[in-house]
Amino acid sequence: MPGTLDLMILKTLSRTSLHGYGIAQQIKLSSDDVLEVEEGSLYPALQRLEVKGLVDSEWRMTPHNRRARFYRLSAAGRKRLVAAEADFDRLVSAVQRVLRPA
Amino acid sequence: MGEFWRKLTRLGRRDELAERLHEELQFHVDRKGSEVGNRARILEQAYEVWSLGRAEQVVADLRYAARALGRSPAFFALAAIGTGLGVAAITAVVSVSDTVLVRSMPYRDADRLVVVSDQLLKLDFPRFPISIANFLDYRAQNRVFEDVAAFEPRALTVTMGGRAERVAGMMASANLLAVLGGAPARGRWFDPPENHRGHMDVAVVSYSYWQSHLGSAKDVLGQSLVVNDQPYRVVGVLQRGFAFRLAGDAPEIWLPAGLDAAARDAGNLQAVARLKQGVTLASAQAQMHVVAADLKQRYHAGMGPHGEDGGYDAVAIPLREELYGAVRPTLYALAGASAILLLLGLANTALLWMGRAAARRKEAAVRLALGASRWRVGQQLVLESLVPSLVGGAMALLMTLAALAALNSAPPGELATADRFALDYRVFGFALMLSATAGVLFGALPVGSVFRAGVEGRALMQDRGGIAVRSESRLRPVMVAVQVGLVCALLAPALLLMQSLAALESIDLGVRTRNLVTGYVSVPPARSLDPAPWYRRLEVTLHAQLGSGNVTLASVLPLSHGSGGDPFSIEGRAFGASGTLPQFSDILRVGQGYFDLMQVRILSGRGFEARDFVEPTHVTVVNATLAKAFWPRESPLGKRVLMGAPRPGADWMTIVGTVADIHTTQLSEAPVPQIYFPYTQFPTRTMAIIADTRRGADLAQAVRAADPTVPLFSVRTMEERVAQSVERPRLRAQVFSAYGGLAFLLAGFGIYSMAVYSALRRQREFALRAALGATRERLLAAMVGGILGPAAIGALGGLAGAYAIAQTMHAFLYGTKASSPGVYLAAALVAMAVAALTAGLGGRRALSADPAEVLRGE
Repeated sequence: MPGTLDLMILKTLSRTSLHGYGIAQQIKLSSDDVLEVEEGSLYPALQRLEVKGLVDSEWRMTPHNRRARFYRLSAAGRKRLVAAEADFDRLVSAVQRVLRPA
Repeated sequence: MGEFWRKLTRLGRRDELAERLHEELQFHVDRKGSEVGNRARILEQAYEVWSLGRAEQVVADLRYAARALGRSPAFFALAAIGTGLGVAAITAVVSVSDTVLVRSMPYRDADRLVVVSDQLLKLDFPRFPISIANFLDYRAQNRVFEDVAAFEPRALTVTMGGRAERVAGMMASANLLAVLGGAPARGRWFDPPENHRGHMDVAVVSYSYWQSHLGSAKDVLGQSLVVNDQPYRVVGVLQRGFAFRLAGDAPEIWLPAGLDAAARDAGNLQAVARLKQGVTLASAQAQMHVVAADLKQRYHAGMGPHGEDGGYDAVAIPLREELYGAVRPTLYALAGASAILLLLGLANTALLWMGRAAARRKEAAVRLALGASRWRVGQQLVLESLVPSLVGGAMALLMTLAALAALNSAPPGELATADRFALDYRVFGFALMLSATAGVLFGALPVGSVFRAGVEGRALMQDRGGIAVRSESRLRPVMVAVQVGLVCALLAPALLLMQSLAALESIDLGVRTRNLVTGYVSVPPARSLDPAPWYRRLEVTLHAQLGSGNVTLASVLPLSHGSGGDPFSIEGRAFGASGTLPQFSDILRVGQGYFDLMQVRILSGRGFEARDFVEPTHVTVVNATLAKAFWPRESPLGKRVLMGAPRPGADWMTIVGTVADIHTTQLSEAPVPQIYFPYTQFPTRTMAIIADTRRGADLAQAVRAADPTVPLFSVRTMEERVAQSVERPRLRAQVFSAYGGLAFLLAGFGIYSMAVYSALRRQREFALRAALGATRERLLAAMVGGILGPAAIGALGGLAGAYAIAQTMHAFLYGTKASSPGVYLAAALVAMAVAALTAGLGGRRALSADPAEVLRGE
């Protein structure tokens, strides 16, 4: 579904700041290995979110002492997440009503 | 907006961002332990995210357009200047007109202000000063005005620290400031009792006078000011920039006008009134007619000087009309000329673009063939067409701002207004939009035919003689006609104005104007109740210091007097009974040696002699116009006249000579009847001194020696006064000549460049004809002949436009008819000659190629 990837990235970052690889891993874990985010989609999406001002990024050291780009939710991103979650819920329940009419 | 901004900040750091992404991906690969797919593809997608999209293409296309235009700077400069001049002219003229004719005047609710005036139509006075009694009745009897205020401009002599200076003053009623809606910056304005005898020794000064002459003193209120040798107490300083007058200099000192009831036929007031809310001008007019009719019946108000019915009435004229009505025709004419210049710029741009259409079409075809999208090529074409218009527009903006700034800092002249001229951005925007539209219309559309042509067609485009050129060859003569027409429309009015100026300048003033210096002095009543002895002393001093043949006095200088004269009587005739002629004459009081120094020709009898100035000889000299008007069949010598109505005990003056006419009013007005008196026999307070310029430097010195407390003011050479009197006609002629010249240049370059391109396009045809035996001359003649037809049609149309403009100039054409056929013929011929000449020049350039080379080139 359109915008789902952005929503998942924002949701993931709402708990902690992460680097790109971490985000992909976290989504995979949270979805019980159902969702595998492609790097070809993830990195352009991160650029897009940053240009839109929804996430910020900075270089930080990992526990293994390597430099990595960490992404963090901005205030605007937090606001967008709340709205996007609500939209998503509405969409899902609508789809459910269509698929399983009462 | 934030997103756009963030993209913009990423514009210069894309390499850095790409580097960063690389590192991130490497990190990812290292952690994941396998490749991340197509890294190049990811990077490409990231670039798309960072890109500004369409805007970035626009920037690139603009750069491309600038480079393309940079390769033909002459074309670019012409297109930009052509646009810029037109846009600048129309913006400046409309900005000024808007301020003068439409926008609010610097008074509260100013469109409710009207000037109230008397008139004596039967005596040919469309404006006549209002007597105090009439003014008081207008105030009391009307029901249409909130209030009526009186004022009277008067030059004042202010003495400060032993030095006397002439200052513009205004006598005013206590309600004037309230009627206009002004306020004092300090102190107060006049109170009503101060308009009456015994309380009138108070003064209000302008803000600028307070700054320049009173040192911006905080304790100015209560200070004494010596005006006309009388002490006045300063009670107020007006708000900064506040000014009011119908003509002349802005008043610096305001004094209370005396409003004690007086005779109904004496008084020198003007009046301004504020219409009640909701009252129309028409109803105010009607009311003033009623009031005037009532006064006429009750008091015989408005009788002529001879007791006859003067055709008295009272009128209300909008203040705006009174202030700016006279400049309206000039502004209309200028607006018309500017609109024509704008159109010419547009037509010129069109011609220039058409000349390049073939080359640009070829370029577009190549780009399409190389795979550029139609959208992209189209966008680039449009942008390229816009660049000259936009650069021209920017130039126009600067030019207009500079022109308005110059106008704002110039001393107020014909356009006197307290308002500053501000640029009218609506007009500027409209004119710029027009020229941009024309740019796209003529710059992009013809080239756009490349899209319709299909692939084979596009290949043909590369051929010089290709298709799609046909629509242009149809449009080209139209454009030539338009350009020639517009040049005509500007040239003919310019010629009319120049002819009118020449006619004005060729008028013989009737007096010497060369090497004379002039200035005025005015004796305050307090100094000398009878001015004659004072002037006598001055004359003696002047003669002693400058030499008696080098200096004289006169109450009226040439070209300085207003229209209208004073009534006089002729002995043995009923007062005012010379048929239909009103018995009016200018009075000229002159000093000894006036006729000699001024070289006024004596036609019969004698001029004044020394004894006429010492003893009451009761003699007078009249001019030819007066003699002819009142004694058409006999000599006036020996006849006796009297200023005013006959009265017992009056000294009749014997006419002892007649002299040639001199121009005392305006050059464009025919000389009026004039009666000369020795100044001692009929004295006045203000006189001019006229001296030979060889002794001009000593003039001020001599006046000071006679009386240091009386200032010499308005010092100017006679030539300067003459030049001043034709200043406006000259300015108008110059402005229109400038318009005509610009039109000329624009059209000339436009037609030239068109001729060059069209000849280049037909090079193959010409080469073929040359090979078949046609001479260069024949070919050139054919090209020029092709231009003449459209040029002639254009000229005809242009003359119609010229005639329309000339009609608005009617008011300021002298000795020249707006329909003068010679002028129109000349304008048409000149415009057509320019078209033919530039076409010929352009064609010659194109024909200079060797025919053999051209044919081989195919």
